[in-house]
Amino acid sequence: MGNVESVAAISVDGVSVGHGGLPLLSGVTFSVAAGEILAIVGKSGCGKSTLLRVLVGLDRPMAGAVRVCGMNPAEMLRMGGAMAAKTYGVLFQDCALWTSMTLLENVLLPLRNYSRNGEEEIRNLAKFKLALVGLEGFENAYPHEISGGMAKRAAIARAMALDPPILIFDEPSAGLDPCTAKQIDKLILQIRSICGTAIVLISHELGSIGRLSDRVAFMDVETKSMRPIAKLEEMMVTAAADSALRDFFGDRPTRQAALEGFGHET
Amino acid sequence: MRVVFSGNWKTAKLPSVRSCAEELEFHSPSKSIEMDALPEAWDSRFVAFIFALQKLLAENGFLAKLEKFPTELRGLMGLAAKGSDAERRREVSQPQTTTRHAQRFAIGERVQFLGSMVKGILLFCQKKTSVRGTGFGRLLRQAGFESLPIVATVSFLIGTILGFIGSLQLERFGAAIFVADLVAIATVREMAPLMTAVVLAGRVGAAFSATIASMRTRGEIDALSTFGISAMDFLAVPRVVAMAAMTPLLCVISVLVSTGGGMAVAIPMLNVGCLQYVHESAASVKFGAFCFGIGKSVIFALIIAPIACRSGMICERTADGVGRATTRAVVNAITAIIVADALCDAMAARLRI
Repeated sequence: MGNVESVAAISVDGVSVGHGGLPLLSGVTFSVAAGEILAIVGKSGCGKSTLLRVLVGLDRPMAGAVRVCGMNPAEMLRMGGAMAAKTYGVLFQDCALWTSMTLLENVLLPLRNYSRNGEEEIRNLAKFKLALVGLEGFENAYPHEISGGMAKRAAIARAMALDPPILIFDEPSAGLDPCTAKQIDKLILQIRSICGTAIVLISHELGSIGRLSDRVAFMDVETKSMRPIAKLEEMMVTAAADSALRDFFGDRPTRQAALEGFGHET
Repeated sequence: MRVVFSGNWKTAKLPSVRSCAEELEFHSPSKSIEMDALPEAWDSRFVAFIFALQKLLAENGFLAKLEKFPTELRGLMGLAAKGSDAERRREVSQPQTTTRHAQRFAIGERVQFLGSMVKGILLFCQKKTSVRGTGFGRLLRQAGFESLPIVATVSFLIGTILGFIGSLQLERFGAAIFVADLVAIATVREMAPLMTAVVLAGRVGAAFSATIASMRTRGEIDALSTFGISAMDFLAVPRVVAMAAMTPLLCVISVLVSTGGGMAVAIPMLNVGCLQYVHESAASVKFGAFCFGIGKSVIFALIIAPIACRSGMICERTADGVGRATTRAVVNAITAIIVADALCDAMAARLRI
């Protein structure tokens, strides 16, 4: 749907993020190509979600530059946000569905705001998006009436409402049972393969990362920096000599078992 | 020195850690104290006691050795003694509070808020705003129709109070019929706009503030921003417009109901005729005074709603923050209304309205 082959979908160059003048992460550099899934991983509190806020323009980086489809996301939001809304969709950690609206209205709102099509067409589009994530029949449910897994899927439908070429997911399967988590992972893979969407995935669940990611960026909470980006298999190998990685990915047998497990999944 | 802990540590009243540590330090010949525990029963209270004691002793250079403690107990102690991220947390959260504090009191930020609100209202009225069909009807109902019962009740009672006081005083001068004038002028000029505004600040302003604040805590406002929908245009402006539209209507109703309240007291007390009362009321209120009252109610609405919305939009992302935002909205709004009322009256006196 989106076509961003000329520029990297997301490029992050020497970015530092943090709160109130104290950096949580610095020197973060990576880029994501169209159709690629990059997993940003690290322990809780290493600044993943703060980095997400910077990626989507809600916060400005303390240093460095973020480009989403060649543009500065914070600038895009400041200029009115239409560009941002059409460029990337975000799934927040706790879904952040608008609780006073039904699921259909949640998906409708961005569409109404930016689409010039007639009401009927927009409604059909919103219903279709909900059907895509398997929520047909729940159009008139309110966010508090559905389960956590359904809320995640509804939030994914909302993030995809405007067919953005980039999707940013913050812990899509956190807090879900393994079965639902797999379902969500499958959905994400399908979205990528059908739409060619670039996806940034923030997660600390090894299973999810293994099933989904093309490459992995590991954020180290101790050194407040990023390890070089690599495929998960390569990162597992490096882990033998890197204590932070070993802490995160587990000891050798665990890593071995995990790798074999992913082989079957993907 | 060797210390043995025995007895029931589950139900016993625990000694103060500090006095215990002082006693041990006083009696101990060396800097090393060997501790042994043979308690009949214990729970985490005992572990916490030992943990605090060990820490306190360590601060004064004493080493408490716990090798003889039961394994389970030592396990818990070991778990608690393992370093924590507490230091880092503190380091992170402190400067944040100062920036938030600074942000809340910055005058520039307030001016910016007002500016974008005025712009938002103008766009909204011209239907040029990017946000369409956003439950504006629901807001009108919330600010208007749903507030009607409480506004009417309060107004009726204010009318009766004014009527009662007026009757008692004016009857002595044989000027009973002027109760109608008193009630009408007082309600039209002062009581109706003021009481409507106070009731709306408590009822609707608080609701606006709490809604927006909890949307902020839940990250719903961030979600709006990533879709390029500004919280100002989508949440604040429709609320301000809804309130500005409904308050004058409520104010008119309040005037009518208060007059009814005054009449309900005056007719039985003073033997005034119903029609006579109505006629006297209508004759006493000049068109200018009526416009003044209604105008004030619009001004009050334009004070309450922005204060409530702003207080929700800057709230801290905690449950406490939502509570504080709501309180702040109501208190600030009521204070601001009364200040504005005084200013309006001073101005009216100068202009002889």
